[in-house]
Amino acid sequence: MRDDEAALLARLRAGDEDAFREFVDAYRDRIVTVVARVAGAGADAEDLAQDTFIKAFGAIDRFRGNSALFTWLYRIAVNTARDHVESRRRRPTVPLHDEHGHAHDPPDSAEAPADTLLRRERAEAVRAALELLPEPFRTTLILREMEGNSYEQVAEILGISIGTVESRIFRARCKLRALLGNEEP
Amino acid sequence: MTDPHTTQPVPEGPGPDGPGAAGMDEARCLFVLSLLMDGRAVEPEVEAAARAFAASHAACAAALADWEAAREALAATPARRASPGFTTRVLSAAAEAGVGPRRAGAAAGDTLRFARRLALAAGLALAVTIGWDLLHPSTLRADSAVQRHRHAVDHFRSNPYAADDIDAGLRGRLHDEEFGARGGETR
Repeated sequence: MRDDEAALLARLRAGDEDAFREFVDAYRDRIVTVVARVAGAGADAEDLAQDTFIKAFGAIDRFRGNSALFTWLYRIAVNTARDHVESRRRRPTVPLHDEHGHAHDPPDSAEAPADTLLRRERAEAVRAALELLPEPFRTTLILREMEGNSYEQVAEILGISIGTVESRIFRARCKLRALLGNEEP
Repeated sequence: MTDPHTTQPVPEGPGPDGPGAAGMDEARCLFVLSLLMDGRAVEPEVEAAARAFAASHAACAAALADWEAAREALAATPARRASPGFTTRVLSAAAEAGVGPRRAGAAAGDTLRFARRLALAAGLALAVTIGWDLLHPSTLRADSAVQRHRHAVDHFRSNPYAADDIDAGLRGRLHDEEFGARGGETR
């Protein structure tokens, strides 16, 4: 753990309100983003992010510092979002709105309108296919391709070996490609 | 912003259980290409075999192109931003849940609550002790000689709560006519 993280952790454990505010301010956007991606369309990402922080606050005294503070928080976020997916799978609901911001892709000014449209359609198709990807491949691919984590970080967050990460990412890519209609898995 | 996919640390190690060029097939080739796409370390001969296989098998090259297109689409997904007031809402919810920051006033309140609980516990312990003693009076008895003369000792008391002073009582009785009349009984 870095020195600045250790100092922040000490202040959090002492119950310093400013430290809690700093902690949430520093990580809120990344946590909202990752829970939105893992929980998928229809989930209230801010509610899940709030649950993540409250769980973290409640467990801060049990954090042993074996990993970076953010990695620990991130793991709580991923698990919270996966639990939500699991509970939604048991009680299916119809999503009312899109939580991925699919409609907000910035246009490339150098691109012809037709190319932009095509690119957007492809991106939509890939994201839609990702939603259909079964667990645990979906979360593993999100952590790698959308969140930009290294294999080592993915292994730590999901509590699996590097070899399993390698295998899951490979299989996720094959399955995603099959879902896009390009090839059998 | 740096591209996270091109800045992966490459760990030391042998890489995948690699087949040589002779054992390469499409599935193995794709697995190796997946690792190489993420900058993972692969034994040089395995990498060379996979690249050679992919060069001669269009299916592998097509899969790699699709994976890279998918990666581009996924990486371009915009990040979310928490709405204004998110931090305040989280801290309020945390306070309701009884976790998170403790204010200075709250710390003093904790101390006061602890003192109140301590006083309540002491009061309860005292009440239980008194109640127990009232319900279970002591059965300690004086020895038989004192018991035999209990009526005399009680008689010497000026009131039921006065301390026993047998000597003073006996000395007083020496001059008491009634005592002289009953001297034989008290001996």
